[in-house]
Amino acid sequence: MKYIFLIVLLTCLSLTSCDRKKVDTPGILVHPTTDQDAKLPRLVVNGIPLHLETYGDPCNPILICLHGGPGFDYKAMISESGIENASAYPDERLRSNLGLTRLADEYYLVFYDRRGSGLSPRFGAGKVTMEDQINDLDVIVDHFRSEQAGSCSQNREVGLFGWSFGGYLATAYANQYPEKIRDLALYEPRPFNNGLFDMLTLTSPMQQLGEDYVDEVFSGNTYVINNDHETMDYQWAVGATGDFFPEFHNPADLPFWRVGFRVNQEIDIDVRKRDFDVTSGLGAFAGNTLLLFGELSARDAASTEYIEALGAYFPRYESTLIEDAGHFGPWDNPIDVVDALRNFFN
Amino acid sequence: MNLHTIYQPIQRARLKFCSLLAFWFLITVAPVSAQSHFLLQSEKLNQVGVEFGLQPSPILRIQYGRQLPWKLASRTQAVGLSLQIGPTRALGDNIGLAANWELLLAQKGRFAVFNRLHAGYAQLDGHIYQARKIVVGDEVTAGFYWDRISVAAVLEYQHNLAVHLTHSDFYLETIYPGARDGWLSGVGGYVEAGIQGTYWIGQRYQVGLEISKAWTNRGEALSILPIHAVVRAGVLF
Repeated sequence: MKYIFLIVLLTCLSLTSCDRKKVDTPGILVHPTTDQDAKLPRLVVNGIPLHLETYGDPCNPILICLHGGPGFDYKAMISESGIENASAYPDERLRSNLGLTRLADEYYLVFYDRRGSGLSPRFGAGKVTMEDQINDLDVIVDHFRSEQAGSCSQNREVGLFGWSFGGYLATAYANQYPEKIRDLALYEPRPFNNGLFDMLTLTSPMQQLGEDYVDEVFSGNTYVINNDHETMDYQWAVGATGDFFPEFHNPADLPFWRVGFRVNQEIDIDVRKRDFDVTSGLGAFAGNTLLLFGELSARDAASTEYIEALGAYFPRYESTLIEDAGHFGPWDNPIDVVDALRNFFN
Repeated sequence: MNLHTIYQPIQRARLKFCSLLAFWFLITVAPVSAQSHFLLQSEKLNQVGVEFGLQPSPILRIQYGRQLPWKLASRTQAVGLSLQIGPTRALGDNIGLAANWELLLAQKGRFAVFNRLHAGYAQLDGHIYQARKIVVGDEVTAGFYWDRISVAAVLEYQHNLAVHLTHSDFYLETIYPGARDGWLSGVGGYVEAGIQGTYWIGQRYQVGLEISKAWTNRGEALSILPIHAVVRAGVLF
């Protein structure tokens, strides 16, 4: 008995004497956010330091690029496969003119991580709503329009490019503020309502319990316990890099800095539960809308009827397919996406 | 006064009282024979069992338990080992080994309370990280054990004493190069609460089902799965 006691005691002592960091120390598992790292570029919006960068001449037409998720970030939009995954610190990047930043020759590009997402600050349960996301975007639109009004010869209108959930947000914004947006470009936007969702062909992660990444997500929950934002976002990186919704053809090398787990779970559930309205005011939107779909997604997930049903919400829309691309087209084929956007916004 | 209106409520009250009395008799006073729990057995002292289900990931668990010949403060006790694997993964990618010690804490008629302490090691190899953990835990089971069936409530707490992480090249190159490898402290644990039912086939074989829900030690949902469920089968010898 005394030997068992000695073994247990020695084990405990050795564990306590190891050099260990507390699991929720910022930067141990996941990238720190703007409120934890002063070196990250930001714009203070509604009192929150949102992770934000701009590219190009501030007097060019403004194009605000909205990432997907919810909860993801804009890293994939400014990186390029096989060339460089952009560092979160602009002065550490080696290459320029990657991804959508190619448009900086003609447009003043704004990329930002929404609150609770990417490298922007985190919030507690139930503290981030769809209304907050729309309001933050409105502040950003007004900010850059005011900047232009103050320092440029003419006031440029704002275009929005939204990718996946970013497309849903862009539509919601045009729905509420149709007069503030010139044109909308939406890459496979999240369906606007529950009825549209039913038209998609999607295999959920719950239907893939035999897949390695699903097993890793659930098993990992018992290793790094989801007690705080660091651990929640860390565990969600496992799921975010998996092949959820295989019909979307998720690329294995999709980069991101950090995924906001809480926002990812709560906002989508909330808009679904409320069947949040993002379309009733679109009749007043006088601009043009471009719907972009990856040809692989269009083949496997989104039928022609679905694309037409989506487009019918807009007074004027056109659609285009991006070759060799699924749901992550700006990463899969940024050159064709950039060309499509350039042709459309011009 | 209508006699019928007086008589019916009295009949209902008598029926309710008799039902309660019968229930109390069944669960507490009725003679104990071959009751449906390993530690309530007096002849077959070894048990081998297998479990399969979602807890929270798909798991396959093989267990062996043996009643000890001596009692602790007049209480029956047993020790055991279990091996857990992720059946959808390559062997070694999701595996754990634990030792446990179980004690019959209290018994009154058909009602019994058990406590199981366990300690173990587990590892998970994934495409983001390799994780190793040393865990300890305690599980209390309290319920009613008849000859053929049992129904019990289960409450378990499992604590990660230490967790070691080694990050993959993929995570470091694609997502976050600053991730730290090594031992982590303050990882926490989780609570699992549920209900289990067991049915005995003959004197030796049992099948069972447990449904539970888990929360982290700070009250967050442990995973996005709403419930865990495990089916089990065992044999005594």
